[in-house]
Amino acid sequence: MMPTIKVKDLRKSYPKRIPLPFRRVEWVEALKGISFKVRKGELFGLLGPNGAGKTTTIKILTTLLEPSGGSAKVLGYDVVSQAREVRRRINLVAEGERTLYWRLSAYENLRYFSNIYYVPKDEAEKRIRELLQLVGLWERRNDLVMGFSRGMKQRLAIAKALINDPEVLFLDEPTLGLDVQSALFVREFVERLVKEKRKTVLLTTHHMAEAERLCDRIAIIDHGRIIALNTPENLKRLVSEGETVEIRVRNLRPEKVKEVDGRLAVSEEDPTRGTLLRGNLDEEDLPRVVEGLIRAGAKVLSVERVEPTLEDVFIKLTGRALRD
Amino acid sequence: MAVTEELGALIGVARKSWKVFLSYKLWFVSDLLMGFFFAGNALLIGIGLTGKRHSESLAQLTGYSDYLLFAVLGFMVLGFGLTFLSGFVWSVVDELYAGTLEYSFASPMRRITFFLGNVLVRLALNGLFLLIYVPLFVVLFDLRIEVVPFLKGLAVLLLGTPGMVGLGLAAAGIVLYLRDPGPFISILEMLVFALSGAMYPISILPKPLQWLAKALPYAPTTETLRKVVISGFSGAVSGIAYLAVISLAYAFFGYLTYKWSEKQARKIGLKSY
Repeated sequence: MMPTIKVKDLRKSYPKRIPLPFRRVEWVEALKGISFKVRKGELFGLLGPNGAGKTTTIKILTTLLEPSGGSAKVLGYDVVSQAREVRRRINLVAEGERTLYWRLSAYENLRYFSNIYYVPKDEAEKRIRELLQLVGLWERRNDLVMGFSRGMKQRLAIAKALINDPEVLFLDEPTLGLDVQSALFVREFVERLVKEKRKTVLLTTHHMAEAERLCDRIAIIDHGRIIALNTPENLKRLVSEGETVEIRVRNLRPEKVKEVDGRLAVSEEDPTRGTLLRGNLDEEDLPRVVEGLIRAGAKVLSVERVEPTLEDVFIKLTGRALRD
Repeated sequence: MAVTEELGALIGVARKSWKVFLSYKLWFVSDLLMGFFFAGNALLIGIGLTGKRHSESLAQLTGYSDYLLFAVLGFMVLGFGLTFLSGFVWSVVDELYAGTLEYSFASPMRRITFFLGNVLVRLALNGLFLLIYVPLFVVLFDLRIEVVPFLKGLAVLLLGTPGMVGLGLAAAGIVLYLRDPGPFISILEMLVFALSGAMYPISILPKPLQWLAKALPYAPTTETLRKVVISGFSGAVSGIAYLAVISLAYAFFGYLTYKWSEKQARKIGLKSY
């Protein structure tokens, strides 16, 4: 069966400055040849830190950017030479809240997008009503978007992304900056879309729990390369059970951590609770590492064996935490 | 099917643009007043320079003795032409600043639909303002204009439209490259204003500027329109032929320039790309 999304050796470079005649410009490689396939009805995640190449990948797949090399097909259409065919069948939720017309109402926004996605008028009216009810904004349909909370704007952005009933949906950091309740709503909504409507979804996130909970398969991306691709369960098997350790310390500068042990990474910094270190350490190594931390001036508050998460996979593969 | 889809999208963009325009209520008032100020200024400058309403020297240069009629026709072309230039450019800039350009460009709608939809409201407003101004000028300033020659002039305006659309597209393409497009737009608008022949005949300009004015679609449209209004199509055959060529040339130039610019923007990741 033909994959819904097929990415082969995709590359993308950006110039550091706008290239002009007689100007030497350095280029930065944002994608260094990534390949993956997404099946129909799959919820596929691109997980990686900021600047890893997640948004660049989404922009290429949604035809907003052209790749520097390699190829990408969505529903069998090439994203460069058949861009309009791709655009008809997909939609996206871009990162950030300023993606809708704030001076228009929720209804007017959806009406505009139904027009530019060629949704027939009768169908559009029905769909706008359904979508606004689905995201809980029907009662607020005539209110200007500028008066909406961040969560409401994101719910409207999701409704907008479904206005053309797309076969493939691209979500770029859909819960970024949302409060807990709104993020939960978005996650449950995306889950339902895949389970009930059989939509194919490609989602980028740097939120590990989100990727783990939602995605059927995850590609971990770092510095423009896919460093692992599998189901969340199989990815976590890369880290042996019982190896993952959380050490909470105080009075330790983050740059000292690698000097103590390269397998440790800073997972969280909290001024009141201290710094949380995470890593995959053998039973025998643990006392030596704790000693090393104390010698480096740290006050060790707690040491705990924990279940491995995707963050441990990332630490094991890159030697860094996702937040770094 | 494709045409009806695109028409639906055009109306959608125009409706969105109208709603956004209405949300800034003072723009409506300032746009309306602009025409009165322009015509009032034209009348006062004419009287101030020549001491009377009708000028023999203007008549010798252009065939028009009434400076007000001369300026009103010029302003009509300039306003129409600038609608495409500023409208296209600002539709990119405004949506870039608002953050909404990406969503519009990720849709299957054609770019020309997006641009024309964004200026459709302004074009309609220009037409509406004209319907208000002209009768008012007739009553207030004794403007003498006949309906049939004026309608013939509008046909010339239509002939120049593809060229003006083309120049607007080319400018919109350039804007994709600029970090701060504001000064570029101001300079471009001033240049077009100075070389449009709206306020004065371009024959009074230094030769190099005359050539430049004739190389842009605005002055040939203005001059041919004025000629057609006073002497009909038969009296302006060479002007019409030149305008047809230059208008078509700019339409192609603009289309290709914009297409190239957007492709480059997609390649190097500019602005919203």
